[in-house]
Amino acid sequence: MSAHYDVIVIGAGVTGLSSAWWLARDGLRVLVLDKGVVGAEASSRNGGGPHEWIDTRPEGVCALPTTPPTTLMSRGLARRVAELFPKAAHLHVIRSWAGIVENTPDGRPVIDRIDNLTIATMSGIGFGLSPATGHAVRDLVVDGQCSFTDIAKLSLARFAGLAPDWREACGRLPLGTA
Amino acid sequence: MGERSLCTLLEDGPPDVEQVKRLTRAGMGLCQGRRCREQVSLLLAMAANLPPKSAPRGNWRVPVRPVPLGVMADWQENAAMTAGWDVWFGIATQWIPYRDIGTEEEARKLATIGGSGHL
Repeated sequence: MSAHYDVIVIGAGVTGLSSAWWLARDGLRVLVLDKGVVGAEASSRNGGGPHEWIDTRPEGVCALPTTPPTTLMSRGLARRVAELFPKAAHLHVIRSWAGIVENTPDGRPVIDRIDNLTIATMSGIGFGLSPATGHAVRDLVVDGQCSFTDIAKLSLARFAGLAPDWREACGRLPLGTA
Repeated sequence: MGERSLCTLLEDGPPDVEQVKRLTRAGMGLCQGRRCREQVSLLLAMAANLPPKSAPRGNWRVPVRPVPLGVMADWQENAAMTAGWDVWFGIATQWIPYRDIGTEEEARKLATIGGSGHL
């Protein structure tokens, strides 16, 4: 394992892995870091329906959501399955999973390069876009600009004038606090 | 005594989940059969040529056992959840095509979609 790398990818979700693949394909030495399991979390699941906004605080994301969304979400999902497929209502729930999907204020990705830092945060739509995202990240890192499509509207600078109360304005408050 | 298998066991008598459990430890793992209980039953039923309905079921172990979907379902959920259960976050701007961002078409689509993401 080399002690020197050309690129360090932080986050081994599907976007990070796609980026690493594109960069390694160019012969760059790439290190992929993740605090958990490679290709796990939201990159390994599908979700939808009932959801919950989780408060982020200066010290970081709470270990537990500010309201009990896991119970609400899983009970809501159980209800939909039981309604849509009445014969499945007797099936046992043997395991469940919950995770966090980050969202930008407009729900759109940020794919941008600032000095030596390239950002790709996909705002909950990363899985399907990951092949193209990895390509764009590779282009930003290697060439400084995306070669195959316009990504100017996905720049981080679009949030420069974001009002401090954007969460309230977007209705992104945890259930029960709105 | 020759080598035993599920088939030779079934020649001895009706399929017995407890017997299979003691021979194979199926259902004795960390989750105490919560994941394999039904599968073991169905495999036994298939091997014995029984209809699935009459497959023998293993016991549940204390202290926990899985809850059926119909019991877990939230029949008193709040109005916001009823309204938005089928949308992914409900961020209307997320569904605007890239070419429309910052154009009049974006404004028109946002007015049509509204805030919920329902089309």
